[in-house]
Amino acid sequence: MSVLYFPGCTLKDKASNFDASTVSSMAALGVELKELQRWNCCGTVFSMASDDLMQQLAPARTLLRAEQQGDGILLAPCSMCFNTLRRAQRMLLDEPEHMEKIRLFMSLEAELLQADVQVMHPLSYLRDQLGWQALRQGVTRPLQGLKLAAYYGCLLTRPLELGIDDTCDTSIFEELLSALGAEPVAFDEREACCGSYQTLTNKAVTLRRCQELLRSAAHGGAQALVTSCPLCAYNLDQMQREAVDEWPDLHGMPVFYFTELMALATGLGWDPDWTARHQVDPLPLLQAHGLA
Amino acid sequence: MFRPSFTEASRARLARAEAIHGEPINQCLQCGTCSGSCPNVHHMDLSPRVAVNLAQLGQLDEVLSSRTIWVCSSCLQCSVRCPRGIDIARLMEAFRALRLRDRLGQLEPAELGDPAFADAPTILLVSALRKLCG
Repeated sequence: MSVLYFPGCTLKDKASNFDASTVSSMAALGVELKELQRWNCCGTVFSMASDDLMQQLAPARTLLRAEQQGDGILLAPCSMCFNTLRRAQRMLLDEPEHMEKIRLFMSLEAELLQADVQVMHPLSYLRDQLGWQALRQGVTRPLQGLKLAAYYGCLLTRPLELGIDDTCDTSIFEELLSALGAEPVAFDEREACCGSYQTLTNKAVTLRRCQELLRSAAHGGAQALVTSCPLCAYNLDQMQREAVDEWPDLHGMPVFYFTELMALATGLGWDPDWTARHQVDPLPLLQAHGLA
Repeated sequence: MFRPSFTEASRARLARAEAIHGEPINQCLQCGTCSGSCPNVHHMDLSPRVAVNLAQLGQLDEVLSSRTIWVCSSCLQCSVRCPRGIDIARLMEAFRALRLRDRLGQLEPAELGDPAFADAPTILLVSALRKLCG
């Protein structure tokens, strides 16, 4: 089984552990990821301004490449890429006038764009294409005893048209963690925003969110947070020391990409290169459970 | 207490905003679900409910000069919960767009350079520039 893969800018740089663990763990499950040729920026945050079509060109070009190279599915593990590409695609399909304008601008490639490729997040791919049963069969080292808070953030499930699930109360992330042998804990704030890009200009916003999210995860008994967004990972992991300085009673914990846990559970082990990508050292927790 | 203040200029600005967001703003019943859902409401000077009310009453200038429109990070929690089906995050996007198109953004790229952000993911910088820099 092979599927087209859109890594996006951050997985090729600061989140290289997310990229490497996605490719290796999917391969361990029998899914070969073919990186999209000539990919460009996903568009980074979907523009909701109805007269701002210029911002839709980047995702439109990526969708076109995927139509040309794949077999109907484009896998985007970064929550922001997934969200932006999927919403741009819906907009192109729902607004024929916008599609026409984008085609005109794209000139030589105009006729080709259909926007009919299915932009999928690996979580839905694993549930709907591979299946949890097949995933369980690929688990050779269950994450027994690990209590994890599945953090959806804002980009995985909203708007509902993203199609991960048809309700605001999805359980797809918890289902994955269970299939890997871990124990997903109750986490009230799991779909609440991390503060996103506010970090750059208004750090108080993300620090407060970091504190509230960590408290909520700890309240459920979590030993670590799990995310699929490099910006959430930054706000919760790299900012965590500052948050603990400000709220000394805060219970700190490592933050994982879900694919790192998939790599552990499929027997690939912890790549030592990934440790430097984490601010809060995940090794003590992993060693305590015989996973590293 | 807010009072309607519709002038020719305010109507023109409302129309400009509506052309960008297309949302039925007068459907809002002021229930406050948006403000109760917003994870960043503590950092706002106008709660989302009040911002929508001011816009309904034609007092867009107060909304446009608020911190609220910049603190909103488009997480869509309010939009998916609004019982009247108003995409409030999209309203905020339109209000920001009006400011950005007047070159009144919140972020000066030339002032970026804090080494504390050396490890930041690329999407942090790009998304902030997209949302805050006009």
